[in-house]
Amino acid sequence: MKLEIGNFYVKDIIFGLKTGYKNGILTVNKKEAIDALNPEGKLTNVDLHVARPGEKVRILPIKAVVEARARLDGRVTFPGFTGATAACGEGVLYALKNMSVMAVGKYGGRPEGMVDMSGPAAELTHYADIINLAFTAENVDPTENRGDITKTNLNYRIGAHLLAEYLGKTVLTQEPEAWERYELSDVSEKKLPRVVLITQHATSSRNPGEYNDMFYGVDARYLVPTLIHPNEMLDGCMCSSSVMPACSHNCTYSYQNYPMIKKLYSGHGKDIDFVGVIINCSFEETVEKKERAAIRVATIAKMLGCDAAIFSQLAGGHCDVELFTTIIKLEEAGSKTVGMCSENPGRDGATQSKTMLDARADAIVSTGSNAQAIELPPMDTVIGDLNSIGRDRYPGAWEYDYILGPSLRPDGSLIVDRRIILDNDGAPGWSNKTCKDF
Amino acid sequence: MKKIIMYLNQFFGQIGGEEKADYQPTIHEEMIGPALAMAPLIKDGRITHTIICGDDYMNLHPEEALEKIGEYLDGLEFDLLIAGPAFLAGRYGVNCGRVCKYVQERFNVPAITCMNEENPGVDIYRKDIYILKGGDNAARMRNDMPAMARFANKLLNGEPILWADEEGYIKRGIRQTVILDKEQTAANRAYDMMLKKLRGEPFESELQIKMEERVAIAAPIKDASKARVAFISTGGIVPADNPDRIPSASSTRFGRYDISGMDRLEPGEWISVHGGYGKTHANANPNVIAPFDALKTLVKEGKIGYLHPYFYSTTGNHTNQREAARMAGEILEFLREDGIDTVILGST
Amino acid sequence: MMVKEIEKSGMPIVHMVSMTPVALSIGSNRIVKSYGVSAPMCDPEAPEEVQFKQRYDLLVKALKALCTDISQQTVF
Repeated sequence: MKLEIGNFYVKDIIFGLKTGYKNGILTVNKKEAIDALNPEGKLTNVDLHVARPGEKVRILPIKAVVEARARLDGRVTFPGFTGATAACGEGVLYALKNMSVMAVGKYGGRPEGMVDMSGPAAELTHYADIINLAFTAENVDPTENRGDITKTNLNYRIGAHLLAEYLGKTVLTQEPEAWERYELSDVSEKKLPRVVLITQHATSSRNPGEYNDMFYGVDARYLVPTLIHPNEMLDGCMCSSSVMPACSHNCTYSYQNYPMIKKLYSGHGKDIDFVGVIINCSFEETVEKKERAAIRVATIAKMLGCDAAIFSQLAGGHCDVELFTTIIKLEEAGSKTVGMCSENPGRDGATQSKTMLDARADAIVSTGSNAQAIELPPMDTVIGDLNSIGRDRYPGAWEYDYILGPSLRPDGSLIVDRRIILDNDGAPGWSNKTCKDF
Repeated sequence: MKKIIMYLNQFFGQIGGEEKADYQPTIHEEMIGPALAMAPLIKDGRITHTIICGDDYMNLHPEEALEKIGEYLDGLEFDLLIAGPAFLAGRYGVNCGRVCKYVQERFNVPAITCMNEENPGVDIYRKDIYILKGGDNAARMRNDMPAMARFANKLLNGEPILWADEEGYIKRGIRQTVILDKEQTAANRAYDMMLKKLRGEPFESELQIKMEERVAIAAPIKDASKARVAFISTGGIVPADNPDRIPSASSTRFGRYDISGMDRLEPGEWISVHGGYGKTHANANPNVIAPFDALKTLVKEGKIGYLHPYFYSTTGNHTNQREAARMAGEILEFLREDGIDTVILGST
Repeated sequence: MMVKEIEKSGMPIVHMVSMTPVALSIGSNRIVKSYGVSAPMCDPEAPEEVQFKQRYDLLVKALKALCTDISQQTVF
């Protein structure tokens, strides 16, 4: 199964008469782009904006982020989600790099997030390093036009994926500037250690409606740990959810570029034999189902003859039980396991940083704490709605706090905690943060 | 030019040995003993005074000793207090910690000390002050002094203080984010850690987990029908107006509610304030968290000898070990007063 | 955490909890496995009389745990 991704490195995005890509400049025809992302008119007041690294721009509430791509063979980029169900993982995909498509609304809360393109919050998320083409919009149906509930944001999510596809198609007639090639070649005669990656997906919503991660376009909520080919993840089989607090939100962009998958691939045939990815639910209510999931992961790892495993945790809380029980079972099954996870030691840093701890998990990479408060300067431009802070129920922002005061101050500066920064945790492997003992 | 005060015990303060351990605190407008060795290592600062106190006097009369020291410092201008180093000297280490904590709290000025990690002063004061890692005997003075000076210079200069291992102080039980170089992504670190683990090479986990302390199993009760039982909940059930303001997480207090006159908890009169689970069921029927209806029935049927008339309630998520210990201690006092033999604790 | 602090004093205590791996991990000794997280003492979907019986039986189990001599952490 060979996946080839042809890359185009975007240097800037401008609006113009005809959507096209030339010499690093992506020109976007606003009307066409808006029509592409809003085919059924479920969104209104749609506009497009460009946010570049280093600019004094603040973007919020962000509901979805997708990388612009299209398939050479005409298959939809996100089978099952934006079009017909089809296999992922093989063939040729063209991608616009150094940029993303972002869906931004008016109402925030959980899972909406914020990105500052400069200032102290910029180094907390990889989204501040790329050019973000953000569309702002409101729902026509007022049901989700509020900041006090967790929203499906379905129109925004579909819109972002459709816009991503529309833009990706622009380069299909051109020759890519560089290639990434992914193939799990047979390296068995080298007798390298066999490694499996376990990923955790946002599946905690039991509400009717499409909140959770979508696997080939179907709600992943009742997934039993499932073995997939890493190429499937890179090729659009997983579309993101509307469930987790922003810091832990793995957007579709993260799945398309999963850093831990790419890193394991880089070592395939040299240090390791990368055998596959096991996708796992983030949240099971009962201890029995958590046990079953941990047993299945360990059994699959054993069947594959794994010598090592990396567990990429989604977030803390319930997920901590999964992290530790799975690591213990993997170690018992003979896989030396490394856990990769964020920590929440409380705002003062003095609380136990995981809800469960077990000393048998002796190899943990921390992606940092999402609980620390941070003061942010006002920005010249806000894409979206700054008043969503304080008004809407974001984890990480508040109307008034006894010690810190209101999150949103009259001059536009903010005091928030890192849970509101989109992908602050960087769980798929992005994060260059860790936690240390002070 | 910044000003520093030094605190020493009777021995390092050159008053005398064990026979002078009852020496009451004095302050001297000069550098004595280790202060003389420390002074040249301090940049842009000088040690203006030395306080000396006998280890036994401070240990046996801490309030008087600290008050006296407070009087001496009142009105003095100073930017930092340095105590010790105390090596493995137990009384000295505890006293250094005590003085530093007092000075920090009363004068809002940083106070640091240095002692060996095994010194009993460490466990008591590690969370309150910076304790530099020190040697195990006075011969190590020539390592400890530069370490203390280096750290003191940083503090005096207003430089950001990095993590414990980097600066050489003893971990204070606080974890914060540190941003590494851009190439040190979690993916790279996890990959490298995995290879080391596979190859049997040494590596350091970024989250060190100690084996949890095991507590001795308490002897069982003989007969429940004669037992005096109390119920505690960490599920966050409180009276509807949350009079004690129990928070949704990281709680440092508990509520103590009289349930003697009721057969069950009535919905509407009690709510859940816990931030870690969906509260629909709890609010519809608080007994699903705190089963007083069943507990009262068991008492009526004689299956429980006696039920403590108070319900102790807090929220259990993200609680701090120190706070949990303190709350448990306070609750135990109430329970002992009532001759309670055993506790049922309900979590979520 | 409070469970251990109370047991340290010598008072027997039983920990009723749904996430038993967490309780084992933090060191509770007598553990009674409860129902779900948001309603640990019974199944909130069951009819009220059944729920009451579940709470009653679970407490009876808790009392039994308190009367049982154990030599290591035990989930009842």
